[in-house]
Amino acid sequence: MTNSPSPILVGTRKGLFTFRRDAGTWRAVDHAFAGDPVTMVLSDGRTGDTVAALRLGHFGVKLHRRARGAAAFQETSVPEYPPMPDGITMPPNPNTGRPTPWKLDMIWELAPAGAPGDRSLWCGTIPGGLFRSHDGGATWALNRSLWNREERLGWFGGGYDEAGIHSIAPDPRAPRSLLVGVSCGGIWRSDDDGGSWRVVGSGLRADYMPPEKAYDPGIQDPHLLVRCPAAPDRIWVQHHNGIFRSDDGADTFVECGPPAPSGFGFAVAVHPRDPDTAWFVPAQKDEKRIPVDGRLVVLRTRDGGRSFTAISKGLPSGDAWDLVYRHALAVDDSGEIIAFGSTTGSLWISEDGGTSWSHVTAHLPPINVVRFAART
Amino acid sequence: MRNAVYPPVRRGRLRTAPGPRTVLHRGNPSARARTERPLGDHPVPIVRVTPVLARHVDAPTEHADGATARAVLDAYFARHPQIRGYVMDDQGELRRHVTLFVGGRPIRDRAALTDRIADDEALDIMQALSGG
Repeated sequence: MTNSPSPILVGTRKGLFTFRRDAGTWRAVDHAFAGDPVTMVLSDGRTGDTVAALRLGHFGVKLHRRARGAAAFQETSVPEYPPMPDGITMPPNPNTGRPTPWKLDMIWELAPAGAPGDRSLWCGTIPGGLFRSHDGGATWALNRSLWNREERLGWFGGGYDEAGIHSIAPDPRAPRSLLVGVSCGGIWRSDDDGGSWRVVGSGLRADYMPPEKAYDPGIQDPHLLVRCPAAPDRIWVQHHNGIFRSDDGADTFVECGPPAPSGFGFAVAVHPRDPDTAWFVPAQKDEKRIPVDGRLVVLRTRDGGRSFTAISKGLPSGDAWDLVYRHALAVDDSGEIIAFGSTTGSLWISEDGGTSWSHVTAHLPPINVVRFAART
Repeated sequence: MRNAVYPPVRRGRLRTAPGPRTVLHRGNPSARARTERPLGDHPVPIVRVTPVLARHVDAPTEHADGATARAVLDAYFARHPQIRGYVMDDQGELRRHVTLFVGGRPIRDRAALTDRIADDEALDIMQALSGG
């Protein structure tokens, strides 16, 4: 490569770290929000801005923006749920028995919206609200057409007590068309910039539901969905019950594998130009969210999910109990540099498309999100 | 302005009538308030914010008028809108892991914040020991 690799942003339970490669070695060169939980970070390639979402234990959710070239973050507005209308009562959450709180709990996803040059952003939250900003995050509005869908009342928590939006994937050919992934509420598609929505995802399978509901698209738990930038109809989903692939923009899915050692996991990354190449970091299963036999591997497919290779070169071959959260695996623009971080605070980087891995550090706080800084 | 002493203590009646520009003497929480405007004719409650919050946002110790915790907070937030979202959630309710002491007493009405506060008392904004 002629260019130096993009810095890597690592959002953790105790702050946002920036790693750079210097003289062949990746090092942490910055630690923002030391001590504070960072749940999502967006490096916006359109503006060069970085937006970080915090979830302060006592003081709630905060958003901070660092303008291109600036040294420090500045606090900006957070999405706020509008006042609950009079006369509305929320049905009890089937998991908690309590009504779903009508208030912001966590920012789980940030994504560019609109065309290149636009400053619009999408924001996915727990408890299930999708928000839109038209001014780079200075102001936000709830997307009411999704929030007001009757089906939303059937969403339930997956990973957290309440349902949340963790994946937002606009179509680069037509940004007014986008996909939203909900745990647990399936995959939703809008073709009019969020004006209307329909649930998609035929073929997804939920073993955690009664058999007659297993293929109901509206109760699926897509842990993460990603869209190939070069082939936007190709969607990969790491689902609660396996790895799924769509070739029609998420209308229908086929299940891939199951791969060895496991098809359970949270994260997926797709090659920016080759839709058939994707990476996953499997765990044993729902009830045992640890690497199979304590052996950490990365799964890679290069043929659209017909076969998978479990890669272990450079990864611990035993006594490793690392779990990788859904946002903690990322690939850069080249498709060659891949990074992932674990809930036990280890960060690994590959510079050969995932064939071999280097252990950068074992001493980070639990890692929520890994992102490459956008080239601007 | 971030060095109020905890746990909160009852204060004697203030002799001054502090207003929006009033601060306590830095480093001496028992100091009488000094004012940066002419004296009025009555004292008002003082708002003190946990230093834990002051790490995130500038939260001065300052007098704010009102007969209830809600009224005092509203007056305080009106001057410092950046603090509201740290204490109240987006539905205007006291955050779950934030608590208030009114005149040294734990707040009783967390929902509507109707606890009465005397003019010579302090309203302390503290983090709960749960959560975090």
